[in-house]
Amino acid sequence: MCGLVGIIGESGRQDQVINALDGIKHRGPDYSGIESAGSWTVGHNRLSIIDLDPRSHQPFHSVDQRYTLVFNGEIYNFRKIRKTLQGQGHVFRTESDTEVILYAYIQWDIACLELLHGQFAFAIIDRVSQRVIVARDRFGEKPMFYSLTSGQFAFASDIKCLTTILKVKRLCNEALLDFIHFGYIPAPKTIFEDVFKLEPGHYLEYSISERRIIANKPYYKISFSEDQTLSEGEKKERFDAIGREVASQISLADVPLGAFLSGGVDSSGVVYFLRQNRIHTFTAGFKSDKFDETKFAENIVRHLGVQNTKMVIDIEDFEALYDTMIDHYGEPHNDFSFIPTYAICREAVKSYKVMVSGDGADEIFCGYPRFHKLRQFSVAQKIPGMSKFIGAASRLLPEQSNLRRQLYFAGMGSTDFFHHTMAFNFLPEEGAKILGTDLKKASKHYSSRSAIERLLAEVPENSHIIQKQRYLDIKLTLADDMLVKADRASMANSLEVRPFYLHPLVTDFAFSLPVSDLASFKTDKVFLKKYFEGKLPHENLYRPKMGFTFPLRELIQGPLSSLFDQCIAHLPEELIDRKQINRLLELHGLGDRDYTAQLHSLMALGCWISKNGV
Amino acid sequence: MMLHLLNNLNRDKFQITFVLLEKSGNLLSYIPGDIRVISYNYARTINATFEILKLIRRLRPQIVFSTLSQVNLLLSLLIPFIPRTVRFVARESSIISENNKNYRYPAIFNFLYKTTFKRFHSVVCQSESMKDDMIENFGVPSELIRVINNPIDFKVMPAPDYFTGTSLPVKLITVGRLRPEKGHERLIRALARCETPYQYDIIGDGPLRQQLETLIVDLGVSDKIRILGEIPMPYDHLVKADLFLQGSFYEGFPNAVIEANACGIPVAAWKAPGGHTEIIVQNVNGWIFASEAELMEILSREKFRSLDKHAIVDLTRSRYDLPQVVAKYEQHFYDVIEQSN
Repeated sequence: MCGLVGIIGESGRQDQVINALDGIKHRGPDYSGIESAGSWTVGHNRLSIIDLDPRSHQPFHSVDQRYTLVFNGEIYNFRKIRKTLQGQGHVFRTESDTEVILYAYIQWDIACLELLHGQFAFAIIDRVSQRVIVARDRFGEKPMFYSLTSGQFAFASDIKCLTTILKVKRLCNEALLDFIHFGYIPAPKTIFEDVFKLEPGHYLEYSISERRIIANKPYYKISFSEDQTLSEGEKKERFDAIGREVASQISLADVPLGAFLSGGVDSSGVVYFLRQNRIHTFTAGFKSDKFDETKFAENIVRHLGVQNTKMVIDIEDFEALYDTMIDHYGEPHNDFSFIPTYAICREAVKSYKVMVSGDGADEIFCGYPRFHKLRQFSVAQKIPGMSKFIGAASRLLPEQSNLRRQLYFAGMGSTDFFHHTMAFNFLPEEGAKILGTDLKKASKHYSSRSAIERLLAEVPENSHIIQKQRYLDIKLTLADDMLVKADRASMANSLEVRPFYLHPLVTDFAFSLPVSDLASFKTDKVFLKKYFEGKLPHENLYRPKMGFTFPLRELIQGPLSSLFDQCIAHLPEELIDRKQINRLLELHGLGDRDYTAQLHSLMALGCWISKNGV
Repeated sequence: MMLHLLNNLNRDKFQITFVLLEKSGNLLSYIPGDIRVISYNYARTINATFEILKLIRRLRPQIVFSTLSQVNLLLSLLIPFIPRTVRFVARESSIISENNKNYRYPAIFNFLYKTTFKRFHSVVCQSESMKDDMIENFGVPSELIRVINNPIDFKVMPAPDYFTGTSLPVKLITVGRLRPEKGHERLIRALARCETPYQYDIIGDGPLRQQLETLIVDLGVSDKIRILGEIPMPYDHLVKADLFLQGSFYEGFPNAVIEANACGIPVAAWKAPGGHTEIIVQNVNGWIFASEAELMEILSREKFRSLDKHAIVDLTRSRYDLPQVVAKYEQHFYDVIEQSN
């Protein structure tokens, strides 16, 4: 886990790179390095995890000085790759995964990306071919932003580095429309025109001599193949072997390592696989019973005999950390569970430099409650005309009823259906009402629906609805919400977090499972729960899902109401119609429907705008 | 053939799902990584009936394309239970009336083919002989049948050795499964009486191997004839040969023959029903011989040395080059959908 910055195309940018690195010191407090040559400058802040020796500091060079690498992340299978490379004649001078990436690229070019199991974002400069390769891991665990303006190419781990260097300030209206709908901004867009996120599973090739991007392509695509050859016992055996191998790889570190434990299936499963390593676990509790999961974590601690540290997150923490959240997200983002995540990372880093988490399991193994509802719906879909009937019947229910909303979606065509299920902020019809003049104009030419369309075009049309939803959850929710929150909250504390379930061995296995192992009519995450039966307490496996969230509704209506007002006041009329906000507050106050998330999104947007002076 | 299609069908036009009823064999690694594969573990096709039905009803593809005889027969039985929007295209790989003789109860299979094969929206045959067999023996309407030959991927073929030597012994080769219908026995017996010096390599394996090896010993030709077993890509052997021998009693469309031609090697094939009669142009890329005596004449007069290897390769490329065969399949799939609409 580190921070990197690079500017290609102009000489004499060392000061700017140094300043940018200073701004992301928290990502890598152990060492800062910079390298300049002719028309480029790259810099790196290191958080030392593997091979703590200075020989592994970055920027890192090949022996012949032809290649320079800056890398953020960890490669879990680097030892295996190194062995293969040594067999090909490469001689290593460090014990780091950094050097392995460099030689893997030299040996196999872009094909090396598929071999790397881990979390990564890196850039390699080739002085001879005058190429820059920028790559990002399969699911977006590590961030990579880039920009190409006036023939100058820049890349960085943090969006603020690019806005500082390039003095970019123009807001992207399409990104704002996406934010209104999703609650985050899906890649490749960012809040700024001219600044982009490299999409997960993609690499980009920039030609220094031609001063242009010559490729921006996926090197990895999620598989829709199904392996029906294994019996239930064989699948469990295979997952058992995978879990042990992943545990072995993921716990490789030259620094102390722990695991987050909430008591849910995912984190409990991680601790189960790591229990042999005498893993230490961390659990966050809340003063409010409604959100407190600690008793479930205690079940696991007793059952598996692991050590545990519990911390209580208080309401005061939220107010104090709100600014931190806005600052570290770097662009508007509605996921306020950053706060408790940041708090637990802040505690964990006092003892550990690396933590293993259960992030990603809900997306990969279909753990959200909507999946079993989709399974029910998929049966109804087979009856001709049933979808339309359900949609029409929904109108008989009260307008604010959640069930009415769900049934109404069910009556839609495929793209519109998913456009609605992925609306974690405003539904399309609701979002349209709150737009200010500029965004209303922009909405005539762009809709967030196109993000859904683009992704659905990548899915075999006759895939099961569950597979389609999973794909969207991985590409959107996971990549641009969950992993962003995890990265920002952890690196703000100089803590590396490794999501167990995003290891390629696990994801390849999950993607080969038939639909019946993903969701049944009553249960989500079917396979994972079946696997852990008998290994983890039943109460932990089958309790209702609780997100790692916070009593936000009470906060906005109570202690944070003045902060809320201040933030909302910064929303320009060109973007958001203030009258509609008041209307929303009234509806929220009536209690028929909970608009907490929507109101918070506007608060977050207003706060971000005020801090960034746009 | 299926692997060729999987690897070469235009991804912009076709969304492919490949269903493997039994996930085994040494060709698994050739399945391209970018297509969806749904794999099962059914050693017997009949056991997969329910799963196949469920899968097709779930996926609702526009075309179901199958190339294994037993799978084709099973699908023909299932067609009435599947929505009419799904079109079925079957490809057979041999002359069915001959192939059915290998079953214990050929009459049952003949009956099934006669009654159910007409249900397919299209049947692809690899040769005119196969097409004639379908029409005459199984009543499949001619308008349902499309002849598309098998392809050759010239990218994987070795460069032919265009030098035509005069050295003896004559290098002879056959590639194919060691099964009765392939006619290895009659070739071995004929060559045992051949006076022209030769070296004959048989590439392949099968149930007749032991029997053939014993025959070779008994005939006293062990120093001239050898069975090399199965070699997955035998092109390096083909390209060094002078003449390819085909002894089959029937053939749908012998890939080994066009592969030999693609290596610049002429073919001498025993006259029999099948596609090789459509492949071979007398005195251009080989000969069809009707008797042992005719074979001996080809060998003793070394007629194969006078053939133009460039012409053999060019003829093969113009007829069977992979891209053009794939294009024929693509067009055919579109035609099937168009006609059904």
